[in-house]
Amino acid sequence: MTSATATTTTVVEVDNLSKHFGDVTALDRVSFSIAKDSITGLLGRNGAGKTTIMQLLTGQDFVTEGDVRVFGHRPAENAQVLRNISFIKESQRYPDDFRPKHVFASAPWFFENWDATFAERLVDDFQLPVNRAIKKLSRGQLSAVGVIVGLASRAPLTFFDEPYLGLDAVARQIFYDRLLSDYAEHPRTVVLSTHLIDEVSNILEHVVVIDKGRIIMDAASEDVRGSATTVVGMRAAVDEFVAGREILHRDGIGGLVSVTVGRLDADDRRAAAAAGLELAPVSLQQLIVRKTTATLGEDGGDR
Amino acid sequence: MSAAPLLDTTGTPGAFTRAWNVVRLHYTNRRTMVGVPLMVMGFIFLINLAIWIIIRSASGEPLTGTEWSGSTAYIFIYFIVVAVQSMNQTFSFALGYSVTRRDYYLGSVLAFGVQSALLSIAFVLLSYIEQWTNGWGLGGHFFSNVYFGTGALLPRLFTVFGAFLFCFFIGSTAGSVFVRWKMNGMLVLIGIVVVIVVGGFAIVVLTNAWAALGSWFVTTGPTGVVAWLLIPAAIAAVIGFFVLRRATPRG
Repeated sequence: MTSATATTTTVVEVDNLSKHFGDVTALDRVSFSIAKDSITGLLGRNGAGKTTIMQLLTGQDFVTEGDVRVFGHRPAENAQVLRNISFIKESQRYPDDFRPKHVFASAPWFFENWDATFAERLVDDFQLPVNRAIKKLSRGQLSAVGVIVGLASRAPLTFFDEPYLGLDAVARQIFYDRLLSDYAEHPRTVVLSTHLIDEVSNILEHVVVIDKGRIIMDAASEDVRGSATTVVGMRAAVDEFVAGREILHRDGIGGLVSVTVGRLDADDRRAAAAAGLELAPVSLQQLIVRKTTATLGEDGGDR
Repeated sequence: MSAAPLLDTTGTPGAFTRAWNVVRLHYTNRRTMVGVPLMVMGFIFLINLAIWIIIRSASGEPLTGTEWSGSTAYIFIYFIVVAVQSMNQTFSFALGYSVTRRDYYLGSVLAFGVQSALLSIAFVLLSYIEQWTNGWGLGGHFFSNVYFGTGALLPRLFTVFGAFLFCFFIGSTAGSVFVRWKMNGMLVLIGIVVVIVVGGFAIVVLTNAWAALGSWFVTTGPTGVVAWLLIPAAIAAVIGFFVLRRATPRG
């Protein structure tokens, strides 16, 4: 018996989750949830804890403290939950003597929605040599194997872990195009983990940002985009304008400064214009860089 | 209370189907499970054949005593290695394909059972061919040695099958230990096995039981010994299950 705390629209529910590896705290009381049929970005620096979260959500690792629910159930060793999940991690190990064709041949035994025709089309799109030993694939080709499995498995909950590693701009564009068109036809819950934020920011509906094992942002990407603005102008005018506001970042050359502050309302914007200040939007990537380096600063730097 | 509405459990494949899919995974690329072992087995056989031909042509007399050959023991021992390799190769991949550890282990053990059955059929068939051809025309014994290659069909089949099963199940335990604790675990496991063997040796020596042990082997016979070996094999298989249940895939 499991509690039905999850509503029908929540696929992933993480509550106060901690994970320790020996003395190392990989995740520190993390809580968030993921809505059904959405594309969520799991963003953060390398080593922030992204892969650890996904391994706990897919039952590949075990929770130290707290609770994880996927489709309302604990995922670890739960065949009924896991059969709905596809997670090819960036560092996925394949049997040494496997070729991509072996990977795709065995996929339908484990993913009931597997679309072999779609997989073949993707193999052509990515120009993947299916008869080459996996060990001899380039980093980009290896990423393509994971991307093809993730897309063609059409699992109700699909994880893409750093799917861009080694992929060139053309291949990345193919990935976005195929993901979005297939997502439109077969809605499912997608979690995209990456540290290359700008490229994905416009396909994400929700972002969860993790830094050093803690969630520092969990919001709809709409809200995030307007949540910060950079104010540029003469030092005195800018200082007067930003006084009393949350300052995320500050840059200055001579008399000119640019300061990133939190959300501005219509009145603020009029006041800024009247003071002769220029306002510039802050990209998701810049914002996350500001936020993660801000927490760095509070801790007194990197050691 | 019914399951949460989010999870549609209808159509979940049964436990056997899930385990069988893991069996298929072990056989997806047949190199580790079939190709290399057959090559090793064939090579050992060819070396024996070559030695028989050399002795035969040097002495000019029919071969004697080859029924005591222990060459086939290498084949059995090699399958301990095959079991460890197969698990090391496929565990992380199977978990990447959303397989539970439970289904993975049951499927692996099932695959090893299937493999033991296929191998013992081939082995017994070859032992009959060896007898019918009078030792490949040389009077040699490889598959029809005195330990498990003679006697009626069923005991012969059982002895070979049991011996393979024993090696595979020891291998599946070692494979679980390797997957969970890597080389450190293997070293500890080998240490434990050495302590058990030396302990057994000490008991036999200190109680002067060599004669009793020898006559036990003689009266029990190869088939009986293999039947007894299935007990530690089963215990090892169960230990392997619990070791693997908490293993995590690594990079």
